[in-house]
Amino acid sequence: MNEQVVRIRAIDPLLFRDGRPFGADIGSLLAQTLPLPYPSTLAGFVRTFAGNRWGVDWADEASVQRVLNIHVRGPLLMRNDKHVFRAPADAVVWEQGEKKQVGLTSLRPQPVQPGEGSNLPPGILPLLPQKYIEGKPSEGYDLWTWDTLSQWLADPTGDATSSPEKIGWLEVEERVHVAIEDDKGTSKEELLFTVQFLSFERYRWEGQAQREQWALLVRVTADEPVSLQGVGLLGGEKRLAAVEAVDNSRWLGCPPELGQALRGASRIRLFLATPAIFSGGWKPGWLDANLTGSPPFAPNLKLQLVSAAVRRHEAVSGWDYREDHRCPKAVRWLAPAGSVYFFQVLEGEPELLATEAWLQSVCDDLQDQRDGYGLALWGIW
Amino acid sequence: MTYLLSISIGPVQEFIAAARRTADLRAGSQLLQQLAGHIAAQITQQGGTLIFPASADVPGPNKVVAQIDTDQPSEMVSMLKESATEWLWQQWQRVRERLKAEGVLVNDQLAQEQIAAFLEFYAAWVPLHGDYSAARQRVELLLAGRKVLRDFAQPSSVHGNPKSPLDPSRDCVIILNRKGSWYQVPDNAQQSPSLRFKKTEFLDAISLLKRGQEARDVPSTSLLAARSVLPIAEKRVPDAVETLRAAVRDTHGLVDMGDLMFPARLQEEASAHPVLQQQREQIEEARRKILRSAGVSECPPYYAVLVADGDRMGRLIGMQNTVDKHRALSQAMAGVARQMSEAIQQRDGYCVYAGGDDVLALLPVNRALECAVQLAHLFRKAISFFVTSEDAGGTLSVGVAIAHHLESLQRTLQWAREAEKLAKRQRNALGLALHLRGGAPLEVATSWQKDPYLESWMVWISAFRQGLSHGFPYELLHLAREAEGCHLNAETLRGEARRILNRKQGREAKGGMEPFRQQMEAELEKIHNVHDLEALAHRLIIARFLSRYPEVDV
Repeated sequence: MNEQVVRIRAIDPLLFRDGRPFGADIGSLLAQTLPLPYPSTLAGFVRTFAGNRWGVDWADEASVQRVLNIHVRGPLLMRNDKHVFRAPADAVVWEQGEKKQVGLTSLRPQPVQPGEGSNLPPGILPLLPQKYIEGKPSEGYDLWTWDTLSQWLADPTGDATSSPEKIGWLEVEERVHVAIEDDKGTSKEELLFTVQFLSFERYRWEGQAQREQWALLVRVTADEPVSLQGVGLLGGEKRLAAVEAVDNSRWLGCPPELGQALRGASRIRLFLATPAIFSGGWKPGWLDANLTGSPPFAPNLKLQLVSAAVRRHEAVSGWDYREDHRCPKAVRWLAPAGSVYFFQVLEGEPELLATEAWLQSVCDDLQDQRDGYGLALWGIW
Repeated sequence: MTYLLSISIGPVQEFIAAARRTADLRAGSQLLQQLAGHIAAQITQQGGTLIFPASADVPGPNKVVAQIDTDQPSEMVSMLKESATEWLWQQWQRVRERLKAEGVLVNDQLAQEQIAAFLEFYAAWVPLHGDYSAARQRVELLLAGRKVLRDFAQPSSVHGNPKSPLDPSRDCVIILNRKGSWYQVPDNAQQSPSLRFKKTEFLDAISLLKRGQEARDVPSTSLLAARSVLPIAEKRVPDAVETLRAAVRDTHGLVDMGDLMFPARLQEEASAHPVLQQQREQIEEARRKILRSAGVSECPPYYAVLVADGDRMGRLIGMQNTVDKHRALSQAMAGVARQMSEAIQQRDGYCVYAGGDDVLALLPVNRALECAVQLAHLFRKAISFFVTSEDAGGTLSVGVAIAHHLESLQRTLQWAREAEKLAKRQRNALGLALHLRGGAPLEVATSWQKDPYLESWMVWISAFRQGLSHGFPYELLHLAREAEGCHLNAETLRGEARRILNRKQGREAKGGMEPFRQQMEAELEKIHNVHDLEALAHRLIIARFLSRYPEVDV
């Protein structure tokens, strides 16, 4: 088995279309980008790159299957060479007072008092804040550094975690273009169109020059050796990205303190590092009607779902490029990255989550697992 | 047993914003209001007492708070959800019949699944023993805890089926015609005056539900842009306006007057409607006459989207410590919602939604500021009775985005929400954003407390109209950029700004400038640092833009 960690850096600003139409009609004059590419986009990119290196005949179904078997885990987002993740959905961040001091509290499953209730799915407890918060949560804390997130995952109550740094999404650049009359060579009246791009590099002035560089990290596993080094086209509008193999140690392992916390733990949390596709929609398909089951890669561990923090679904579709049937793929809804699931351990030793199931997919479908959806980090509560 | 029940329905902003036309926007908003109204009516029928909204007849927001007497609150909530889904289903049946009558066929099974899975219905309840404040706080906490899990099931979707352009997370349910290697909406659907499909509008059931609503007299964004001149022309050249109106009637509503005010739009519509082609010369002549009467050479292509939201409403509601007080606040909200809607209409705008502390409206650019002032005033007045301390809220933050009439509606709404966020940073403020095509957006916040009538805007708009050089704001901006990092003191910055103002008043305009001179200088006195100077320059660039719009006699 050939395994390598690959860093993908944008040479140009990149566009990851969100599925809305882009054309000459009023209302579709904008190509909108997603805030981050979906795992399958990166998997497709890496596989195309590898397939071209192998000299694959793309019209041949068997060759295509050979490429589809390449397992691409990721993308993990890097900011200035450090890992950052989507903010966990079980955290509430707010700024208080004139100095905008940052407060942080956790949401934890809590039984309701007699007579009280909500229409949560059966067997699920509401997640309530551990501290009283006045006002609304603050915006702009979209991404958390690994330092903060690893503390958060090892912290059962959320009280011992330092406040997160304010890190927002990558900047979106907009470029306005004009359509040209073919015969006259002049601009077409009123036909301006706009394309959004994600900028992977940003300079800011905050008393001193600040440089922010972003990259994507994937872990590629293939049956045959493949050289992943060079430049390829990533996303829409034929934009370039550089691919380079990096040391496998750049992939995140479970920190020893967290591994220790997981050992013998009776209550564990699952954090989605990448969005997940579950047959049950928000709920993993490996849970039975009683909300119990074993996650993939940890078959000896039996868990019971107690609660979940899942933001509104995202959707992925894409285009099937296979020669014989080029068409849109069926749409599937995703549990967004940053979702947190709370479990009770019924049987088994959860320590193996820190090894066997660490940054492995918790999706139900094998191809979704190979595409990098649903990569899991684990913690306690 | 008596319970306090709190219900929240959704999706709201995403659902309303998924619109290509203003009619879709209106229909989305109306559907949600009616749905909330239906839930409220069901609660009343079951013997419950509404607290918010005060009555099921009031335009319903996406939230319902009520007192209910039951031994099985969980069953009652399930029944309410089923009833809400059934109500949506009935609406869909009506739309489906209408589509059928127009010869548009749909995939019934897929549509049924989309309608059934659409509604987000979150509910929480607590026993109500007497302490209303504590019960309300607890039920809202539980509701927030409920909403942390946005549960969903996988949608039905078919490999190869096109996705809906308004909501690409859903499949198209229209039975499409195959055209070459791709699809097209059937011709009859494109020609229907009420449906007005584009050939690639592969809509999902939820978007069709909006498109199928009766939507009379919903102005297009082009018409809202044109309304910065049409009401003036109505008084000065009524015959020309009537010519356009007659042409609109001849197309049976397939175009509106906004389409006729822009040459490129007219050309497009005339090629689609022969009746317009025949009248093209008269329409062009009437358009020129209208523009002359308003003193402009071309129809200004921008319009404004206004969104507003009450500040610290949660705290204000929390202070209403009895059911009666909370209900009285709800009634006041309903009252001010009506007044706001009227105020918007009086200013040639279109009120998409007014729920008291939550407003969405479309306006002509030259009426937007005046309308924002009026809405903030109405809100303060209506709510003042309930505000018992300074930090209790009861003020209105307003966001206004000025955008091109051809810009996507979803994006313009997003800009208006961003402008509202800018206002919310200080609360009780106006956030005004100008999104010119091909230029960087400009955003400026103005506090209602410091400037309740926006005089700091009006003085510059008037000065530009009287001849203040249009280069003035750019010179101030240049100064701000040069001064950054130079540690110039405030007096030096003000002195330099005064010098530029003196130089930029223009010889001919100097006399006309005199009435504003004192106020303009007072505005320059407010510069304390480079950021103030930059903010003023941005405000002046927007004021200069607004000054080119014709003045409306109020």
